[in-house]
Amino acid sequence: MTSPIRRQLALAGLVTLAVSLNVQRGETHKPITSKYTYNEDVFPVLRERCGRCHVPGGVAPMSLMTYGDAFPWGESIRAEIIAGHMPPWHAEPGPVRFRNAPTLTAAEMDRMLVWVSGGSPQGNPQNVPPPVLLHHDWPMGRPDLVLPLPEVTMSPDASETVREFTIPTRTTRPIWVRSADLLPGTPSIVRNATISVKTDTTDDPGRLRPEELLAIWVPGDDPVDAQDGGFRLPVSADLVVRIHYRKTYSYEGREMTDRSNVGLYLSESPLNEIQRLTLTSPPVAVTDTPVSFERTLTEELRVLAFRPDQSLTNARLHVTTVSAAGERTSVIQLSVRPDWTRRYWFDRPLLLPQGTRVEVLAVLNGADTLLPPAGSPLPPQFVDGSPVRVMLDVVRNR
Amino acid sequence: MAVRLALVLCAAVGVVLGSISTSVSARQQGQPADIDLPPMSWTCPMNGVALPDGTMHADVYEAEKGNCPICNMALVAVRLDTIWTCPVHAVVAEKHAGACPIDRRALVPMTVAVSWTCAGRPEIDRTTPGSCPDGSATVVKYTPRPHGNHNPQHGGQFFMAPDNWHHLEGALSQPRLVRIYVYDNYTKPLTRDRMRPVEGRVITNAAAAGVTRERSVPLVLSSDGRYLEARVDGLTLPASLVAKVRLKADGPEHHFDFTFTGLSEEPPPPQASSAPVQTPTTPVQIPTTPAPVPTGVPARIDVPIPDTVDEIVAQIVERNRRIGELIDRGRLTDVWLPAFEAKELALAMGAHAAEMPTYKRTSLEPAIQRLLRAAWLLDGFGDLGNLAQVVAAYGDFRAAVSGIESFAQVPR
Repeated sequence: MTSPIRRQLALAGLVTLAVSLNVQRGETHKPITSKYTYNEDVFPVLRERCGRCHVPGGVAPMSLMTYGDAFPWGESIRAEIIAGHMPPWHAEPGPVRFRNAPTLTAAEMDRMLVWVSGGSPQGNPQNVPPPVLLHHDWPMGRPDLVLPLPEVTMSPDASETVREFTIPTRTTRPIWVRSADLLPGTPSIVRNATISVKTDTTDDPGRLRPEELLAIWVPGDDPVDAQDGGFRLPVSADLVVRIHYRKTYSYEGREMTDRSNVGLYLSESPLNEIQRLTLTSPPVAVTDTPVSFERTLTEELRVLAFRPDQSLTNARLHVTTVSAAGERTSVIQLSVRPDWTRRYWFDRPLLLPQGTRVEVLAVLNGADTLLPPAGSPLPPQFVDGSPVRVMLDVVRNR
Repeated sequence: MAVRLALVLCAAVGVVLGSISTSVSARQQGQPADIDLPPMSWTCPMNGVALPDGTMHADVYEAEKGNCPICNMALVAVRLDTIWTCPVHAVVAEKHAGACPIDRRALVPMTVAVSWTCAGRPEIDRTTPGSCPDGSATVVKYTPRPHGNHNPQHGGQFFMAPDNWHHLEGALSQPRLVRIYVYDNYTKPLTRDRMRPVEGRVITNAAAAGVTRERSVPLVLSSDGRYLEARVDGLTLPASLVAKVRLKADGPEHHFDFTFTGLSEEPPPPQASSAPVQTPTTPVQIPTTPAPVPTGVPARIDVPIPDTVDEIVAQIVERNRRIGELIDRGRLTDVWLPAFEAKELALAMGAHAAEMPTYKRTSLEPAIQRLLRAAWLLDGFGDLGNLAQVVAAYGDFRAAVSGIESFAQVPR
């Protein structure tokens, strides 16, 4: 294992420890040393970066849109920011940029940390910010095709459920999809979702194949217009929509219903079809050893996005490309956290010539628990012998 | 003479401190815009005092004036600021780092309450500067705060205990003689009675004939009750050792990493003076439960920002070097300062980035973010004295600095 990944992994453990330390410190008011105040400095950041979920009626368990809402969560805010858990992006900043990164700038991050560490002052009472309402609309505007989903009811005693729907598109010709999105009917309980094209073909990880996963939806995430490619849906294709519902404590014991909609953004003209390139590790039986695997490209490809397999949780991944000349480029380092698996769209497609080697280093159970407190090493955990899989969404060069 | 000079400097610095401007705090507290003061908290005068039922009054800080929710006493206003003072002679209050005029050691940062008083009228204690009854100007006064002083008092290495109240210093007073001093939350030495239940051991790893063996030597209370002591035969410099210390009979055993590159140098004895820094009058007792503390809350980091990106990068690299040196010397409690100074410098460089081409900005921002998070981690872990945690956080800090350096090397 290279030392940078070791450092990253160690840091992942450290931030976890930081989280636990902070949690232990309680919520008592601290002496005010912060030059930043909620009304003037912190609220604008919270509204812009967190207001999609941390708002009354949002999916987050608490609103942060008033001083009274945010103040008790100061230590949690601090721990989550330092740990890189919130905003929920989970990829380390690096040389490759991404299109849908809901991250804080360094200055915003510091402003939040100084505020929560320095007594969380409210600021001028004359500047109390106006109420923030839940934004509930299609972020990319009205889709070209809206497909309603059946109503789902969660009984009062249910706290979590997963539902899968197959819905017909009833299209009379093949269509090209630039982007797919989900508009929850009841945002407070829709935790995450996937939208796929139903297919009968079995996966052959050794070959490129059309990507059938149109979207991974997580709260607060804007859909991405693929731009350099698109998904081809055959005539009268069916979509498979899988939604994970979960109540926060605010809704425990209440019956909740949801009727979400799927939206498709179409292209009139054919697009370069997005293909999936799968990288698969050997079977993994124990979690305490990093797993490395690779694949060498047999043709030139443009990589639009990266995603870990949906089944992977609580893992740490580092993807590197190595050119035929031996030049290494760190593509992405991320923690895969439960319920936050997403697709990472590159800001600009990565052009990988034939012969490029794509290397993956994976540490299972490594997102948060690698470095325990001194003197108590983690025991190895045994898993079911499944391989680790990650996917690149690519288009062939035309 | 030196002391007198220091007192004059202190008063002068106080005026400067009182006039340093951050418009936010002035706005927040409704102060006139041309006088900027540190932000104000309201705190209970009974914080840390034993209550009749035998429990300890928890620390209470509020954002507004009012009564204590525990004892109903009126809360008192306090403004916190950072000064630079001599490590063990707290009679100097400087705005910036420098040398102690008494023993020429490097000044160390201390968090203090800043207030204003009048000569010969100690009952006057105000949170804003102004005039005295005789028409003269008020003079600034600094009062130590809990956790305001994390500086070694015996030339050793100083850590905060995980109970967030005790502090501990390890010193290599003579070859092979390890001493452990234990302090309260004001960095006052524990009394002999309170030292009595403290026990511990020193652990070293000795290599012989290619085999490393762990050795544990018990710490024994000195005859005067001032410190614990262990004689570790075979200890050679540089020496790395672990102190495992139990602060209460039924408490957990805490882990502290020490690295000694030389013998700890005991500072010269303090000199009598009419020091403006006052010792707390509140009785200090050991709480039965850990009190929440403002760890990692430096009052203000005031680092001069150079004009050019190259100079800023050089300053960041220098702070990085200083952190490495502090870690090598085992001074883990001190790493927060260069880490936070580097953070301020990096953020200032981010402001310069607005004038830069996009490709430079996009290279810079991830490195600044990484440095910032690593700086907060170093701050959090440095106090606790666990070397492995600090070293891991420093690894990320160093990587971030390398990223910033490589950015600076991009041709303009």
